[in-house]
Amino acid sequence: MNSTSTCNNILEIKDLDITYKTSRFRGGGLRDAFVELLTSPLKFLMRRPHNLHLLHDINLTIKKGERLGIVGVNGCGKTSLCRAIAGMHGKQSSIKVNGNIRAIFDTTVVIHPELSGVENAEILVNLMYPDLTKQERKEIAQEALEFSELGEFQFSAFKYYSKGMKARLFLSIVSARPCDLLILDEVFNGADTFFNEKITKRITGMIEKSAAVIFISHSMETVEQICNRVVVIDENKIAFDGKTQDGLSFYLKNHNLEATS
Amino acid sequence: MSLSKAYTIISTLTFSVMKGRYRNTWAGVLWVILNPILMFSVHALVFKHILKLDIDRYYVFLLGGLLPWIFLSSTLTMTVNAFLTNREILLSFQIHPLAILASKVIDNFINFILPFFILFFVLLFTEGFEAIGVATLPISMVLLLYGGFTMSLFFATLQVYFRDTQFILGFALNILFFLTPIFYPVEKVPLDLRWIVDINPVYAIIRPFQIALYDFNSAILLPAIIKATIFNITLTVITYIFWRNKRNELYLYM
Repeated sequence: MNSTSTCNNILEIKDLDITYKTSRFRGGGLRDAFVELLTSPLKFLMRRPHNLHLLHDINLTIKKGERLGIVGVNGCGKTSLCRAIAGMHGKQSSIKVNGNIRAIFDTTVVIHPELSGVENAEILVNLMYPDLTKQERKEIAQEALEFSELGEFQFSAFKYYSKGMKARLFLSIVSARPCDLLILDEVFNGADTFFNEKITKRITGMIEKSAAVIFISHSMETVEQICNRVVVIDENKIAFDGKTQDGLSFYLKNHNLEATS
Repeated sequence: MSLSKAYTIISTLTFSVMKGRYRNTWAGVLWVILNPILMFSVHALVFKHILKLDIDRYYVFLLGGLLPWIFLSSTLTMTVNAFLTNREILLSFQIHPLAILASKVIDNFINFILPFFILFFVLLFTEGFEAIGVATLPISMVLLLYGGFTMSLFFATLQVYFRDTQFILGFALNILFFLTPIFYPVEKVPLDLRWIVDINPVYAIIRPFQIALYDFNSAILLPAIIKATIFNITLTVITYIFWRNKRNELYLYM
């Protein structure tokens, strides 16, 4: 483990609620708002925004060495929870992270389609590792390009890359350095079978070096392989928190499904 | 985020935008430089030589008003969709939305600086400038850049929630162009209509620029800088409250 954090608790979440205020004019526009203000000013002023409760009363502590799998049906709030932990929703007083976080939610992202794979790799490395020195960032980009096995393609414009090729490069960069809390949301999608094996090995290595991991996947098999603890999110709250096998059984049973693995 | 981290991220994004635009084509570079110069020439032709506006040193007057206007309007137009066009990046990993916006504003500022200085040097030899006025230009530029960034943040955030913001903004800029004394002097505006100019935030931000280049006088420059600063602070407060309230839902609406 290469953790820089001296604290045993990498993540502490106390009574977290994630509620979105959905706009009165979602799908509409300023013109609709203006027309309503003119035609029914009272209705316009009295109407309250609708509250969309995504997660309620979330309490979670992740210690060093824990590899937490989060499972739940689509739209249950797994990704929103991870984005909140990663600080993407602004600072939250109910979330305390001791150490640095790296969170990945999509592996096929394109920074600039007109630029080559080499240039996109350099840009991505700069954006993901801004705290490293210029030389270190250069080394990461070079190593990731070699690891991704793109060959001559690395000099082509990124817009010509297939989804798998983008995933190869992105995953190679992401997995270059360990961190204190690693959040991976459905990352094993996109790459081909041969590269998947290679990158899974590398990411598993990174997971082992990171102090703690949050892993989101719909693949029960992968969760079982990687995680030593599982949280099941159901009906806006944590319905189960415990051992991986028990968690997966609970999840499947909860949705009347038989375990396949 | 530390300053050095922010610098690395913003400079990387800015250079990537510039590199991408100019890749394999000199036309991109030429267009960026020629576009404001062409706009400047057309305005000079129409108002000086066709409509025969009786304004002394009209080219200098245009440089002080029209060029900053082009920067502000093009920045707002270019950045209004910044969060939506970069949604993939914003949703994929931790990158602050403001870094993306800042890089676009800085990129456009560089695009403004190049043609500005080309015209500036041409006019320096043909018309001449007040040296002290030119020395105050950095203050006007900082106010302009900051104002451009604040307004961009407001409209780019609004666009995420109301997708017709870009059209309304375009319409508003067209109207504002005629209401802002950038191709006619403020003295031409009747006194009973002067309030329109007084409450115009775009004019307040451009005015120090105009004074520094055209009618430099330290007695009017200082109040203009104070007014531009007050407008910038007001815009910052409004934008900050709006951003703080809407930040949480940004990812949901993108």
